[in-house]
Amino acid sequence: MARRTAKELWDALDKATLDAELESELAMTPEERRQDLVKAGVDVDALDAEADAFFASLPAKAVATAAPAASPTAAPDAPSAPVVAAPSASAPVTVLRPKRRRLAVVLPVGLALAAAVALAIKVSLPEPVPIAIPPDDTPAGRAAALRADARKSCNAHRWPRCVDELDDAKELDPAGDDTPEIREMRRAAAEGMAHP
Amino acid sequence: MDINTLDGAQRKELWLLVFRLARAATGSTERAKDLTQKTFLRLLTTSPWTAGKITLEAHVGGILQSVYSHEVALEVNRRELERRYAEEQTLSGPVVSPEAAMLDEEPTSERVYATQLVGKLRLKLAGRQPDVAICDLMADDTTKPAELAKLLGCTAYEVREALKRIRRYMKSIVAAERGEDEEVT
Repeated sequence: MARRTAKELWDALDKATLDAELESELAMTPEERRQDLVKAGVDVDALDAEADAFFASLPAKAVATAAPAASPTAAPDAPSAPVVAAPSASAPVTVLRPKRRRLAVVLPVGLALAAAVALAIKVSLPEPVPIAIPPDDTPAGRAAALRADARKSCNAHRWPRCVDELDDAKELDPAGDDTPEIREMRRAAAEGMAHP
Repeated sequence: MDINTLDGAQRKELWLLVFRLARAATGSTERAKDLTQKTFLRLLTTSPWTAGKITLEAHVGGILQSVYSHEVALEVNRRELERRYAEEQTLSGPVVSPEAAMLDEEPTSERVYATQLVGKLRLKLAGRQPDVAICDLMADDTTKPAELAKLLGCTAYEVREALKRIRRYMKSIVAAERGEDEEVT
């Protein structure tokens, strides 16, 4: 087995310890993270304000996509009756109708176009995707989620990860570890690691 | 993934998660804030999340690790260039620019620096188990927590906690090297 140099060891420790921090963070609930920061003396309100300022500084996507999205989809929905014909290049522009009648046409057209644009924006925006927060924050619920992850890891033959997740789940819910399915997963993982 | 689809509370939760990780990575609140912004910029530009394989939290955690590694690499380069430039300045021979120094640099000083850091870490960890044993096993190329736990006869949780302790020592050593005050994170 090759022995690492000091630099390789330091780099490997840097990565492994950061991985450990990440795993540990992901095992916490948002409220636990927040409380822990408060306990550590971090100004959480200031962080919230920074987050707000960051997101507020982003260009609004809806504004950016509204124009291109509106044109192809708005056409079929555009009102057919009160269409105002654009003056052709050759014809002289002449006021043919009194202003009150023109207003009566422009107003509904404007409203209809606005409705079409709003509809186009709504259609073009993706469905909101919720953050994957475990639905059940009880130890048993988190253990169940970990076991579901372990099942995926086992199916993907990521044996060490599978065992890690099962072990983590066991710490949260020892009783749930003693089932035929979990025993079979552990057996498969042990075999997989023994004969990679 | 469009971050705009998250509501305000969800964004703040994600922001705090990234900040906590960044603080754990750097040991500095100010650097953590900077790293958090960079992570979100990456999420919004070159590394968007798509639902399916991993959770959004795990995805941003991965981005943070990547951004952090990049910054560490830049810092190593900067430190090496500064050292070489300072050496050149003290010599009577022709002065070589940092860029020229980079072209023919040898990582000897980085090796020496890493040896010092590891030596200091081992001093700090002296007698603490399984921390010392983890360092020994990692030096022998065993890095996976599950394997470490198996070899040490302890749980994955114990290995994880030991790794977190080791990280705290690493941060304090690096902070001392930089002449910065050590932050308790």
